[in-house]
Amino acid sequence: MFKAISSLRKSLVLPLHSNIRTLQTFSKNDAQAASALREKPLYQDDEYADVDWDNLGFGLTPADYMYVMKCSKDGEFTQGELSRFGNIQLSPSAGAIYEGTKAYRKENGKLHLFRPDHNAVRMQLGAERMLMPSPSVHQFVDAVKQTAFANKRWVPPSGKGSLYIRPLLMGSGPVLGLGPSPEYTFIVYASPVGNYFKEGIAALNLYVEEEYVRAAPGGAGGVKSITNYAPVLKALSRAKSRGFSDVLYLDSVKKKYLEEASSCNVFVIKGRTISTPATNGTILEGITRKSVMEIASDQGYEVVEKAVHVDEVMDADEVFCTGTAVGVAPVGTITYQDKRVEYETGDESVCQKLRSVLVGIQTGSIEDTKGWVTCIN
Amino acid sequence: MKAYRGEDGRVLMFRPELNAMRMKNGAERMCMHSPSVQQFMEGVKQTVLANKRWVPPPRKGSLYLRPLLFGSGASLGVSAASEYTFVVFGSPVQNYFKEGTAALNLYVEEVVPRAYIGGTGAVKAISNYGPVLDAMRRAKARGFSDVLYLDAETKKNIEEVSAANIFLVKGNTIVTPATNGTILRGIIRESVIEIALDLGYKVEERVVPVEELKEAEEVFCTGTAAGIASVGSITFQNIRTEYKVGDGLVTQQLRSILVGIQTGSIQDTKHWILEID
Repeated sequence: MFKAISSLRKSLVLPLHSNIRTLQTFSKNDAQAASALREKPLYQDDEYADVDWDNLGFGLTPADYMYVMKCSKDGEFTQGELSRFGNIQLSPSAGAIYEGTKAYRKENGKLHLFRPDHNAVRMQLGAERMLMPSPSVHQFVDAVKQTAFANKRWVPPSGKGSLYIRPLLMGSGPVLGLGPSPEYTFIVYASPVGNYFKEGIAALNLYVEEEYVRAAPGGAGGVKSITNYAPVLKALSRAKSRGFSDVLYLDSVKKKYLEEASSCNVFVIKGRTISTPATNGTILEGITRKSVMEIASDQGYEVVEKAVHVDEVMDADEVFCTGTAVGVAPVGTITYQDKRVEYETGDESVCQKLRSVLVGIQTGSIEDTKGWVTCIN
Repeated sequence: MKAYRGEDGRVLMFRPELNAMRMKNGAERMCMHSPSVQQFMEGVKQTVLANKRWVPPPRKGSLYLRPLLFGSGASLGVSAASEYTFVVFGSPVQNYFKEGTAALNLYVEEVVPRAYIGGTGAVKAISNYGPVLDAMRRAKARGFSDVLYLDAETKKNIEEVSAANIFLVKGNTIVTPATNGTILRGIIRESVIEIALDLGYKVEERVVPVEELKEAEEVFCTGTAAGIASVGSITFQNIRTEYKVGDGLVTQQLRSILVGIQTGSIQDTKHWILEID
């Protein structure tokens, strides 16, 4: 980013017309530099990066390589390439949608991806809503595999975490008025991670937010777009400063129905019934969410997607959250209008049962009968 | 924001301190650090001075300035950025709409909301623009100039256009939706309200039900990019209402005064103009 800033500073005295010429020059030079970077791998097959694997949190620890691919508004995505992780050239008028997936290391050293084709399709649908072209499913999955494989020394040892992979699709071309970008860039980078929440694997404490709203019908809440995250930082930081782990948002119309948390979907258990808010455009259709629904169904639970009234949440036996970053996280308490409810958690909980199955499949200790796991080495 | 070249060759800016304050307030809502008003003004002034030869000749347009604030530091989870970058760049522009100065044809959008209560509609943030490109494309493909959005909660009241505020004129009364968190508080909007009051019009900032569109005599949009743009028609649920356009109307009267002040041909008694030298 510093490189981009200093070149931007130089460009500030030039108007947009000159800026367009400068950006085009940058793109050409970068392409030449990138193709020169097809060097031999610098690292041994079984080498680990110098990281304290026992103390992974959830911050950015950039792995060596990233994957970059560009597309013009009227063209198609064609060939992308790996290059060393570094700052990207960015037009000041960029916009972005993104994805999140993980690579896991099996006991025997093999590396697994979990349902990356679903992330690919979700990005395509999101891109369409935001008037952006997107990579094909094949291009997306290939890019994710290449990034994971090139960075395999950054995949934590089995049991210590995973390699979080961040595909990103952004408008990268110059545009002044309100309209689609003339150029798009697809990037995939990665970072080893442990637990998403600072609580680690301890149960979460959630706050039901009534002032700030995450999405509205007809909006873009169902897209994994940056436009859904920045506006909720205020609600999130306010809740965190009061000791909560995250925020549960309500629907924008009645302000009575549960939607999701800032970075994960939510499930409510009562007896043998597991309910989760239906995805109708305002909620992100989580891949962990849909996987957990199938696992629960297989285990004989009644799984229901519906409008979940906030009163049902306050009356539940268990509550848990799902997401690629968060995994399957138990909720210990929810606070709504000064009323605080506690839930069952622990080893015998339904949440823990579902988590064990999911993690088992992801890390290869449970047989993958559904074809959810892709081995990349 | 814009820099204009007056007839006498002076380079003038219109109320830039209001943009500085709006960015500060917006940054606070988005948990971002922002430049102080002085720093913002300094950045803008330097950009204009350095690009002085790009400010169009009088009456040919203006230098449009784009101050931008973004999180530029490394971060993986959902959190505030560790570093912010403030950028200002400029580009000479004339008319925002491809209609030029001809009247606009607007479409009332009923499916896609621009903003919602508890969201960021009042902030000039990219989060309000990306999600409406879809609605704009559909409207433009059907020949409309832009989209007029309704409130997300009831879908009964008008809010604003993709890149401009909206005003209705009936007799001696000028009405515009009140800014209550979902609508961008336009600087041209605020200025036009004051000019209209000075001229003796009754100005109402309130909830404006979509039905009132049928009763208006004139409709216009306001924005830095849009200026004061006449609206020739609005289509709502397949019913098209037409409005008076042309010289001798309220819209033209307000526009002449605003442009006169901005370009220095009308005396600036309100201290709205900053001369850049």
